[in-house]
Amino acid sequence: MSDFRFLQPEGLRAVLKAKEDEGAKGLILAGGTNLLSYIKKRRVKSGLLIDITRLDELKNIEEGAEGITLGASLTIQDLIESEVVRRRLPSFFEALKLFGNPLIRAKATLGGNLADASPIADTAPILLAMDASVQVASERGERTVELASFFKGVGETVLKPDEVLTAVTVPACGDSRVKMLKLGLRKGTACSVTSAAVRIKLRDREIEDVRIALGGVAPTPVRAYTVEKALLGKPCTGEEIENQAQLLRKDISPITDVRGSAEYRKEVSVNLLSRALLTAAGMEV
Amino acid sequence: MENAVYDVTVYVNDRPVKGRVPAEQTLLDFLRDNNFTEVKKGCDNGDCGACTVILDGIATLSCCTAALQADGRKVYTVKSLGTWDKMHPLQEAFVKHEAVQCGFCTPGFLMTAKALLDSNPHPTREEIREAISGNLCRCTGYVKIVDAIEDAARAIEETSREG
Amino acid sequence: MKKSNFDIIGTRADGCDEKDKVLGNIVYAEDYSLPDTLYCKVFRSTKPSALIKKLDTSRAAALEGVACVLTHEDVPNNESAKNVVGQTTEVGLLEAKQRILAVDRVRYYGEPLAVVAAESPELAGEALELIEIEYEELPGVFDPIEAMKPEAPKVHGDNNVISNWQLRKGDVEKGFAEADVIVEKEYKTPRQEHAHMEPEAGMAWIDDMGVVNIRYCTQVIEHYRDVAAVLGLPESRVRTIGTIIGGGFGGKEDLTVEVFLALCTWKTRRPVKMAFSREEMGFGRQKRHPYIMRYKTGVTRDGRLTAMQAELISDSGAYVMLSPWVLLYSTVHSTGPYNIPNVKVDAYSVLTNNVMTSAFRGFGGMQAAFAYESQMDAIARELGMDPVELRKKNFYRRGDETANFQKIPSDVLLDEAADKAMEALGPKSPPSDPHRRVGRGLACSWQSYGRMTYLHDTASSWVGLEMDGSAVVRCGIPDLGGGQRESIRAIAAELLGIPLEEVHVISTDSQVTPLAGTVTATRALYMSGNATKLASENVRSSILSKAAEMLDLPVNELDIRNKIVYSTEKSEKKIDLVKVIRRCAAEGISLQSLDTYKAEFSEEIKSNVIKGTVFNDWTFGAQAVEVEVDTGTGQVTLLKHVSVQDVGRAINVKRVEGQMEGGAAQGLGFGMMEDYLEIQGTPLTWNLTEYLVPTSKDIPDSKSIILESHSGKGPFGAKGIGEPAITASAPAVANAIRDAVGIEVPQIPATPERVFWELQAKKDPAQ
Repeated sequence: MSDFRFLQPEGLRAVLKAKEDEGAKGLILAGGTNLLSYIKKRRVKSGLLIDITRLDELKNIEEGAEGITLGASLTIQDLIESEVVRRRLPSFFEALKLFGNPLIRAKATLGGNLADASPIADTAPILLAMDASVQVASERGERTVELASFFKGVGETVLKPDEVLTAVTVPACGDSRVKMLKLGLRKGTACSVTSAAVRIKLRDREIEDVRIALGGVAPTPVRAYTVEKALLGKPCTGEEIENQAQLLRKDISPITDVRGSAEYRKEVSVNLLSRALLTAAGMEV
Repeated sequence: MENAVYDVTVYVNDRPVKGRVPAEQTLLDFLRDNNFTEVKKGCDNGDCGACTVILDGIATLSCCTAALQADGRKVYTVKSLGTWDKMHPLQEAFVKHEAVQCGFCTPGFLMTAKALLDSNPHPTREEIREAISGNLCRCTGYVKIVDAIEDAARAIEETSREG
Repeated sequence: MKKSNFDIIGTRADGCDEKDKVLGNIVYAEDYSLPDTLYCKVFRSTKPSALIKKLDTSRAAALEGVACVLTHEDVPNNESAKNVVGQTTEVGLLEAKQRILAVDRVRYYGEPLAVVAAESPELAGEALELIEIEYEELPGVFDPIEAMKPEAPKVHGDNNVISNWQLRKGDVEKGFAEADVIVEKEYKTPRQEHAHMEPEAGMAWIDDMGVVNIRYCTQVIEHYRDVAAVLGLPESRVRTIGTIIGGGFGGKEDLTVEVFLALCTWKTRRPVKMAFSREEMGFGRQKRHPYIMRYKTGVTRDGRLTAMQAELISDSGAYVMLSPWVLLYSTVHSTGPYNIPNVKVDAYSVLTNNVMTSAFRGFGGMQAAFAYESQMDAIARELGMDPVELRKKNFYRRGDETANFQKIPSDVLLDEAADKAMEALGPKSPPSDPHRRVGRGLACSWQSYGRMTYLHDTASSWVGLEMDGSAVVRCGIPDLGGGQRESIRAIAAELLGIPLEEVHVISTDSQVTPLAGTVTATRALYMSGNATKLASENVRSSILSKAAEMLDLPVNELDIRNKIVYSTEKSEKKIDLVKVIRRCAAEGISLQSLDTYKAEFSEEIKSNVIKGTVFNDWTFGAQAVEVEVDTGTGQVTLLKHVSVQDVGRAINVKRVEGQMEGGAAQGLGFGMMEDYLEIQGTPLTWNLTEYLVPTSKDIPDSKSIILESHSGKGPFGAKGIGEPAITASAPAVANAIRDAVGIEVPQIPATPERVFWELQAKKDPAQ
């Protein structure tokens, strides 16, 4: 007695048509690590499964002077194996290796990880720090959404029921340095207790520009605007970084859950942030 | 209650296996329903790796894959690896090194290890540990599994040099 | 018995089923199928403490494709009458009735209320959703210390304290007065989940002789008696066929699927199948008892222990199950392997509305080990003494009397184990960056093998020679993957003088193989090994007698190797084994033997002050660990691990190493990351995403060093290793963390958060 239907679409157009017809009942099936689990747990009880794993148009990697565009259906493993990613986004490449475990990386997709909008989505902090944006498509047209405005709440994004995330665009980082750190409760596959990603641009030993994003400390992955503002223009010293990192407490609202208490997340995310900044700045941690 | 079912053909160990399945049926359930019970259901949630098969050359969690996603594609289970008379070097190494105790996780580990050695014939112990980190074992403590995979890699290399 | 050296025992021979395991040929419990099968699922409570106002299964039963929905009314005898898991004789003082389906009240989240059988698992799941239930919540109690108070809500009867054991030796007040230093601390251990990779599963059917057959993964095939009692059938009409088990660790020791399967097949007269989901394995199955332990230990300036006083409190969950026994183990083991002249221990097990707790590898020994080994290191720090030296001054020696007044019957190689464990860590690793600190820890343990002696444990085994010199061993012992069948195969092959590959062991069928008892309590090698040894020796004796006659030589001059009976003195005098067999057959001499091995028997325990023999013997060992602690996050990385265990004699070296490494990994998980969490009796850790077990990246390359004192009571002087392998891991990690960063580790698992807060407390004691 199944309440589900299945579509193997010919191309992206067919996906968009199905989403137009089904709305929220059109369920994008990519890696399956989230959706199939929700179905088994009866969190999702009916709908049309739209398999996007065979669509080459969602697996493109486009390289330009301005930045890189990554197809939403690329798996984490696809990204790790991409020569373009390794060359142009080396810190992103390193961060991707922290994701899950090899079996999960072979299935989980970039688009799926973002669209699922978990507070601990592991691709989000570093993409936020890199000012990424997502490409969204529907039969009504296409639009670009800054990743910083993409997440609305736990499991919620700005995607409308008829929309599909098709690609992620990452601007070129120039001579910025990027770093992501993740804290898990074991060395193997671990949901992040908290994670911190930073992008820092120095000029004459001063912080010319900085982006900071955290996971696991709010309903969505978040930017730490207070700390960013406080660091701008400051000398890039260990003392300065550690002092300003303390302001992180203003930007986050962690909860207590099975993985840790709010207090622990508050304290340890400050430490993680300091480390990420110091490492990115090329300093002794 | 729509009760839609779909035709599917999956090439399992080079044999076409046909079925009529609902949209949400996993590849794991499809395989087990078709008597490929060597593919194990340990958690049905992507956490343990016992259901690992090789799909299009990639070690894949069959519990996180819809059967229909494998339509027309090639899936390999541990039974494709070797036979009683001629085991794969990985299988021989697992036996020799006592990398098997209860054996329930073993088919999944062997598939992950096979996919690893196909893409990286000379992995370090650290690379092996990383590659198998999605497969859980509760009996062995992993040391002998790493030993076995390392030894199999060496044995495969020796055979290919001799060949 | 003339056996100068061994051909098979003590080698690294391959196992009898490993080839089939790597080929994917093993038919585990859920892999078996029969035509016309129904699928069963259990309907479980979602409240930890409530009255059942209404339970209406009519809509579920009416669903097309549902064959039956059973509640307590459909169970002929809803309370399992068995006192003790797998026990063949009567015992007192430790009643543990288990209810099959709840009647009017539920006492824990996950308590079974009904069982459904339907044409497919999906339909069974749909039927569960159609069962209507109305609860009236009752106040529950979720903390064992609260539960001990007179005003606490009562889980059963009128007293939540269901077990109390005591040790009384000497005079602790006097002992403390003699002490120069007293260390007093409180310790806590978590609920650990077995997390075996294979879920509980199986099939049942009624065969063409009217016998209820249950083919499933169990550590106790004797459960057919429980099933018979529940169904109201004679025991001879229920048969359990045990499968190769995909991990047990005590999780498949109590009743799991067998009664549900039997009820459904009995009702529907069709084959039935079920498997627990991973979530169900979380909240519906028993766990390791969490303990609170308050220890006070006195020691002289030169390191001699003078007194030990302890209070142990364990959370028994909502049903008694094996809690009193686990508590007894903890109590006896609470002193550690140390000769302490004055001991006072009071232990309590208390009912709560939390998940049930029962058997788990170690059976109460691990919790005590965390406390006593933490105390030893705390004492060493107070005295400024080397932790190994302190321990050596206090280790038991053979013949010493324990706090329950029994003499240690075997050799104690702890001095050697402790030294070798620390030495094998090699040079100390430097920290990988300025935030991190490296530390080392040792823990020594004792863990009994064999069941408690007052249970009058026995095991039987049958050995028979075939006409061609191959042999069959029939023995009920289930195989957990620890090499249980392999050991008895090796023993038979060695004694019969035939190649290992020609011995076939058929096991685990309650109507075909002689009962050998449970695969628990580290008793399999000891009991079924000894039984097989007896049976093999009897067959060997028949062969040698006949051969002596045929060769005209004295019997004691003969030996058998590679299917040849030969004289150990005149090398040309020999005869093929097959010829001897044929002669025996012609003369009607039976070449088979059924034998029963009896463990030491002691009097039934009548008092809760434990005095006298409780265990046959112990395995002594040590583990050492090197860790690195990240002072900024509290994360602990395992760098090195060593285990040194005296196994008496290693029957198969690879298997022993495998147990040592695997047990250690499970113990390291207990020490670092495993915690089955509930809040007000409602689960927080649902599955293996939240309940963390060690992965390949969490466990370093482990060194296993096997010591062989040949002083055990098992075959050829063997002891046991299954449980001893796990006991010392967690305290070794805790001691290593203390060494690295000087913090208290009062509670395990030593998660990053716990370590972090202890580090903060150390920096700022005012916090």
